[in-house]
Amino acid sequence: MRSVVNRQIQELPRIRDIKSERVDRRYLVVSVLSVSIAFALLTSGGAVFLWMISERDVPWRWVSVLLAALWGLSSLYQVLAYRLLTYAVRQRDVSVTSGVVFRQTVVQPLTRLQHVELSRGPLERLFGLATLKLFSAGGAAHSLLVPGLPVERAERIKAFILDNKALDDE
Amino acid sequence: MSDDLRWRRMPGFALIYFMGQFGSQLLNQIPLIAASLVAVVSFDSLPLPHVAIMLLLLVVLSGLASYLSFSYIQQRDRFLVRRGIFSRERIELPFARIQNINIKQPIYYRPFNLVILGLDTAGSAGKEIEIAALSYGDAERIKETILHWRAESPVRLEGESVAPGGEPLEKGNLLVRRSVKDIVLHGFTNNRAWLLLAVVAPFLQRLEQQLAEALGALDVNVQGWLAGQDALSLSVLATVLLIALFAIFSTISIVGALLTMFGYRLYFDCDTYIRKSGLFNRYEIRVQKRRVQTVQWAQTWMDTLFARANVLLEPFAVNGNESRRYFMQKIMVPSLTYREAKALIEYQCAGLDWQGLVFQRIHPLYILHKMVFSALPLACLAAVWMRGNWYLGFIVGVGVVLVCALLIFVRWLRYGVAVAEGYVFLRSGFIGQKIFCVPTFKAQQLSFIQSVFQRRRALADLKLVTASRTVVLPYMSADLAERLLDEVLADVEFSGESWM
Repeated sequence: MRSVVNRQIQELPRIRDIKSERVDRRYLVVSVLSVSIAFALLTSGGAVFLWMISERDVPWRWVSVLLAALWGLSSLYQVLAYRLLTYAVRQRDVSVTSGVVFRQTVVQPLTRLQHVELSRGPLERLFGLATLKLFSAGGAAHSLLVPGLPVERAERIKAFILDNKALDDE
Repeated sequence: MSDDLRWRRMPGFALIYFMGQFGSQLLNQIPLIAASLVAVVSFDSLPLPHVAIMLLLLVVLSGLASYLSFSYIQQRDRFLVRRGIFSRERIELPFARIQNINIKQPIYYRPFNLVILGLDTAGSAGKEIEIAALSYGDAERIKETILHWRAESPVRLEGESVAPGGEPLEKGNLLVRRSVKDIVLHGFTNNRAWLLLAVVAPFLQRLEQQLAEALGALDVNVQGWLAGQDALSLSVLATVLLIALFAIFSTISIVGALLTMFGYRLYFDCDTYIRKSGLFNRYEIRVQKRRVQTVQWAQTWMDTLFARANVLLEPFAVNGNESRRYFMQKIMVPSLTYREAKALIEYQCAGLDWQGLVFQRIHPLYILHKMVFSALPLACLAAVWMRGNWYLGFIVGVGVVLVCALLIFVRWLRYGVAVAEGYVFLRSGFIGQKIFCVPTFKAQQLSFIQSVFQRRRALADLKLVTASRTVVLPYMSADLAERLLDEVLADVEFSGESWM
């Protein structure tokens, strides 16, 4: 790689040394709630469908036990995912570590940012949270999302990024 | 430079261009139009001459309307354009923002030696304009004006290498020239004509019917004849048919290659690659050197037989977000000998020693994981598909596993990762191969990915996102992946070099 001359050794970014922090606790509630809502919509639709097409009695008891178990599992997964979701803002990059089976740390250097955005869905608004979206020229598929930030913290990070870096804009 | 403030129309010959544009749009829709027509009335009762006249009229009228609605002003430092028949649109195109200038000569302008000048900015979609029916001299003059203006503009883009006197450092340097033989070879080894099969497939059944009818009329009993032959002559027949099919598709592919790449020339001028080619329609593609994000060495399995390689210079080509879109055409340099390909890559990548690259195998655990997570489920599915016939299911399952194992093993053999001063390389493929060269400071985003299974063996994937493509280096030692990530990150964050 390029030589390390003219560069302070302690300045060099090291992924191992990233001190990341967990996102806001309220984000757990938001993610469990949104999964539950999606689950409720899907299962009620499915139940109506089942009720309409089946000629014999549906074993409702077993169906509901199964559904409850599935719901419990996916909620448990959300808890696990929340505990494993961390982010870090450093002088020159933002990184997010996530995933239960496939753990991945995505690092977005600020010098390559095109555009920064705060987005707030209805549930997030209810709980005073925001998602920070970072766009690079790597494409929309590779925009980095930092979810579950308290609004004022998200605003501060956004301001920090905009201050620190006149965005890579011609 | 006259600052003419009146709105101008293009020269009258541009009418043909607009008609051609609408016509080609119409041609693209023909399957759809034909289908809907056939759906409404039966094909036989269709008054074909009437339909043809109607369509022709439509083309002429809409061409005329587009022609009349397009007007422009060339000012000292920008183009102003008004266009649109129903929804009017005003476009302002400052010369400084123009990323791409290309000059095309469609076949219908050949006799008059007229050209089409295409201008577009990389920043925004739908803001590209084309001015048709210019004389070649006029087009060149406009191009020079734009380039000249950019060269002396105070907001000159960083990294543009123009010598202090304003003179370009190198003038019209011919890098690559391809002979007809090279192009034919390229058409032969990079056969894309098979894609045609997908288009033709729906019509095959009808063709078969007609063939059968024709044979019936000739009183030839095909089935009877086939039944009378022995296995040897049948297999010979099948082989001959296959070879004939292969020859047909190769010919189509070669003709296609000649159409688009005849007279291929790659120039380098003012820090810009210029590709010129084409048999009937001449194309010109320009890409500035510093816009190139990744370089690709691509070989199909047939290319490896002929010891040839294609080199692709890939500028940014991604959708940013709604407001911004980047797209530039890649420059493909076909069928280079290894020596030429190496020279071209080293020309683009300063300080690179292509011969000295050492590709390292990825960890063999890749094979096991791919077997467990993709081959086994596939084999189970195949076995279940045999529906209760356990014996057959077992045989099929084992067969699938063996074939997958072979494929995965060959793929593993091809995978290779190399690191050089300022560049990262990934080699992949089965029998053919692709080598991606990523300049580290062009990285847009980096990911360190580790599944729980990889974590146990201290392995990891490293993902490099650039503005032209995403490259994943799989199954590296976690230690190396981490070190590489740190070094790439340092290059991106501290080198201060712009990626475009």
